[in-house]
Amino acid sequence: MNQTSVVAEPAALPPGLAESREAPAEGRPRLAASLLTFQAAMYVVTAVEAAAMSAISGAAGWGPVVLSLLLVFALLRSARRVRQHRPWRRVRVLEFSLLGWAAIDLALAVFLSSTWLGLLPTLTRIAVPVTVIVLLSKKQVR
Amino acid sequence: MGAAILFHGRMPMQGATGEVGSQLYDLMPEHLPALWAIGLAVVGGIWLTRRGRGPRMEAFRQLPLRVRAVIALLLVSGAAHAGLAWGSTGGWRALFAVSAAMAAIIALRIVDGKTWRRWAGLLLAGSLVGYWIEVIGGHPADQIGITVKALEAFALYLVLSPSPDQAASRRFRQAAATTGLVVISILNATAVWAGAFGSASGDTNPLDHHNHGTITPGMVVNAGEMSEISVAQQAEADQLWTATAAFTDRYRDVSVAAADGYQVANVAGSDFHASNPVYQNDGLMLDPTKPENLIYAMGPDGPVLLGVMFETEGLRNEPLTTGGAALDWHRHEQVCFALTPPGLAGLVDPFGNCPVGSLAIPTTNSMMHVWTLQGAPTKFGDLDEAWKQEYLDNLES
Repeated sequence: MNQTSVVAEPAALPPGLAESREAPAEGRPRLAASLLTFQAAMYVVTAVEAAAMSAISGAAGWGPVVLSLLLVFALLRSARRVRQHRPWRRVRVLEFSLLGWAAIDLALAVFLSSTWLGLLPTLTRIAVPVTVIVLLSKKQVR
Repeated sequence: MGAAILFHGRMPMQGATGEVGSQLYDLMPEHLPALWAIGLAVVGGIWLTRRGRGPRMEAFRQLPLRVRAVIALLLVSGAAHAGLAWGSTGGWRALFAVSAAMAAIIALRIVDGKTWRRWAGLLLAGSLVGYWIEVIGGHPADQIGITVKALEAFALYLVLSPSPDQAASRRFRQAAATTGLVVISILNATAVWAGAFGSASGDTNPLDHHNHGTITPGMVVNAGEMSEISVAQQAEADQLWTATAAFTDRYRDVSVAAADGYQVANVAGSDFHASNPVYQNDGLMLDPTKPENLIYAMGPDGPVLLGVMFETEGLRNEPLTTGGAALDWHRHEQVCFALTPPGLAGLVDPFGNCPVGSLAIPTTNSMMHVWTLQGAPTKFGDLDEAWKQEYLDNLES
């Protein structure tokens, strides 16, 4: 597939301003790719924690570990796709899925618990996919 | 079926509802100014972005989106530290104030086109490392701190990521930045867990005068349980223990337990809770002949019965007052329940995540352990892990 680079050639500018040559169409996917990588890092942590839990008790088996690692792989691959300006419809589907999952957790927290304890990280879990979806909502430049 | 993998420690926090739990899932009162400062920074930032005028605002708008994101995250971090400075005293106040000022200065350097990556990296890395030292040192992490540190980790990743003018080493730098983010996130979580469990295992809680009643992340007890135990309550508790131990002795044979409806098919680990679905919904509470769960550890010759766990039915039912504080009723919060296969997958992690395929359950029903094993150092509450392990090791030898 032929792709047109939208990144300008580097030139002699002050260090802090050199990046300002980034084309506007490049900025949104680059930030989205960074957020996808951030999500992947969070789920690496989750996979490590699930592995530790499985080693201690074995109640839930290794299923959560394997599934978490698969999600990490999918998120890192998505970040690469977005960075390379390849079609990102599937990335948005993945983010909508994560958003739905976070929304279910939020609903459980609201309905089962009378306090808002534990909600701040859950709100972060909602904010990240929403931001990615918004960033990738503009027409794709290829 | 499920296995209790929720350890209990100390250092509780008094919640608004009269319940006592860990700060990990809560907001510490002294951190609230930081939350307000973050809110103000976000609202002020949005207003400035839309309405702000002047050469600096024009320069800001020309910056790449990721660089603008770094500025926003630096200002959030700075606002949090400014709020902490407001609520602190002495050296901490000065440290937080300096950190907040440095964040603002670096944000201005970015807008002014001066070198900034090294300074931003140093500030963010210093803030993260300082936090890790603080929480491991015994200052419990709360939701505000954890969220700000997650945002700082992301900001550091953006700082370390290559910019378009670094095309030559771009791939290497990108891989290094991604690896760095993963490592920092793992360190972040490790420090928070270590701090939360470490501070909970100390013997410093003036409220908790039980030898065995302990509170750590994921566990909540009613503040009323911290009261003194009367002679009559102790007698009730002893009576319950005697009746329970006498009746459940038959369940040392798992085939008997299975015949009575306990789910003992996959006993594993050292703290396996075999539930009985019929007894969990029979409307009875604290019946020594019908405990809702049996607790086993896998020994060298098969499952070893450690004790039982009584439960209340449903989330809203209060436990009986029999035995008072001696019985150590508690419930759990923020647990992950896996669907693949069904079982307890751990606690909601510091970033609000559960393993994939599991749901975050904010609260459970009330439960209480009775340890019927001969020679156990305690009858109720938590069974000492070291003792249990030594007991199991002795069985092997």
